[in-house]
Amino acid sequence: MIASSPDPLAPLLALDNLRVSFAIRSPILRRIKMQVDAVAGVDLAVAPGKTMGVVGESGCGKSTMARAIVGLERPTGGSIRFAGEAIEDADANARRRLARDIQMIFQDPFASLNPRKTVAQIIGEVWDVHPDLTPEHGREREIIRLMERVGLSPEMASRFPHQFSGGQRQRIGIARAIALRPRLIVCDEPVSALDVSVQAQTLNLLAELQQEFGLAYLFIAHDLSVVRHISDELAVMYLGRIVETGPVETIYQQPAHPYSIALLSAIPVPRPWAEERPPRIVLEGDVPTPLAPPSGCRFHTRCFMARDVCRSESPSLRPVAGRNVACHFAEEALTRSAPGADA
Amino acid sequence: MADLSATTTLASGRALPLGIVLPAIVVGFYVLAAVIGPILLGFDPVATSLADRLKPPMTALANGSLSLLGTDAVGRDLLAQMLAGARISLAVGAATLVLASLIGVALGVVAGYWGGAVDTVVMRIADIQLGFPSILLAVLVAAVIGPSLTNVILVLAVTRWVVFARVARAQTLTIKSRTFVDASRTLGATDAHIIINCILPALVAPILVVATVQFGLVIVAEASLSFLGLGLPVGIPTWGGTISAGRSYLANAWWISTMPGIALSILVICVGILGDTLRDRLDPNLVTR
Repeated sequence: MIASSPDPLAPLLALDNLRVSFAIRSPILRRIKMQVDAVAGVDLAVAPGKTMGVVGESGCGKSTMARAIVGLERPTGGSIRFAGEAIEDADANARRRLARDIQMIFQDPFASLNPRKTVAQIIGEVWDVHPDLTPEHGREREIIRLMERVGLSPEMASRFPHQFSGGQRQRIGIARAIALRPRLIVCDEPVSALDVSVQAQTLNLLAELQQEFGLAYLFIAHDLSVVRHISDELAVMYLGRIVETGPVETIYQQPAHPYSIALLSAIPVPRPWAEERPPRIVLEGDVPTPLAPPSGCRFHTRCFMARDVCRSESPSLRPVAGRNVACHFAEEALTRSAPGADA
Repeated sequence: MADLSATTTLASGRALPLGIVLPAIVVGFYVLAAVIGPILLGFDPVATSLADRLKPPMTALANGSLSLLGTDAVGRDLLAQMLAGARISLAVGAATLVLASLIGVALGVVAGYWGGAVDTVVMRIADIQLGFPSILLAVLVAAVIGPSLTNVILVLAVTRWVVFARVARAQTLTIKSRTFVDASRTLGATDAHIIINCILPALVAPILVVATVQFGLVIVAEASLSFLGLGLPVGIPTWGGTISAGRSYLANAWWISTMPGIALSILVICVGILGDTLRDRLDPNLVTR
């Protein structure tokens, strides 16, 4: 086991300039034709027991980053440190050891459960891989305990995944993830496939488990209100990079990156006529293809504030008003997003 | 975990459908006939009775017994011959399929799971073999290693593994990219664990279907080899051997070829239906409908 870091403020998980690239090969000679940087240099830190929310459009590299953290993709550059230990090159044995600390909850609860196994077998798989964790005679009781903890009746232990509802299936996935008593759970859009009423229950369950086990979450979502509800910190991703990161309320109240401003202005409010809110900003065009990312700032093709310097120079993250922003004109963006300001 | 899994099983709460029961009874009857038939009705391949040559079904023979299915060109009772042949034909069919599916599934899973050079080599060999008439290959190999029961099984398995390998590889490719495999990997599972727990269970149904289709083909292939004198030694009765022996008497003694032919057809059809219904039943998403 990895010794816990003595400094309570030291991040549990730290990504440093993480890169994950995929090679596109020509069909016949298998030569590398092009390289796609799905994650193009990401710095991110998750504190122990806290939740880091990650938002961004489809294809911005959120899921690839999550898969790299749990070892399903191999990073092509940068580093991933867990409790101070570099894990980006971990071999199979080290990965098995890391699995006890880092678990994942998947977006599609049905697809992530083996259709040929019962719930008891699915949760019990944990001990097939880590037999020393719980003695054999205690496993059945542990399965019952885990199922009760996530709100499933233990009588359902011998049922198959297709006999459950979406919300129940995600609870099975959560029970499997907490069975190893991890310190970090990577949640890749864990509620986006669920009904809205079930979403809230699942989020509450995740919050309870966080309290109970001191879990840290890396919580990926595209639903901005879900992220605000559950996160302590927020990271906004665009085209493989983080454009703004900081305490969640700081960013929600006054975003400092034009992309965050546009994103947050899209949150529907219950009574739009009664609330004072910044004007809606509709971004034009689609996310550029990561095959040929724009020069300079990757967002300049769609930015309503873009100037010449944005086309040539790539901004790096810098501290502005209590958060980190990657924008040449963050101060100006900040004034635009101030409450009552006219965009 | 015994009492957790005892409450519901695959079969509980639903009567077995006719599509399984009926063919299962027929196949069971064949197996039973193959096992105890020759004990009840002995067959001596070298005992001939020229007085009883080419007697049609339901004829009383010279020794006073009744021949239910008639006799062949040298007066041997056809029913006794078929019961003795069932033993050999069923054994050859089953053993060949077990051997071919073991080789095919092992190579197919390795090729599909790890890909790369192994995949290329295995699947190109498979392609080459598929482009070559399988009976010709069987004739070649059989001619080299000579006729015997073991050799016939080996020869036929060599000609059949390709089909199993291709199905196993295709299924492995789809399963290994599924999210639940990623979930197992996230738990720290080894490749062996993933193959045993995720991939092999998903292979059972498609391999079963392939096996039922191949079963008929294997019995017919064994018959062809025996017909060419490259299968089993002459003294051992098989359905294929009896069918080909009766060929020259079709005009005046139709029953010699027809009776084992009917027996073979019924068996192949029933095995096919059984495989089909079992496949549906093994699909976890259809179980409780």
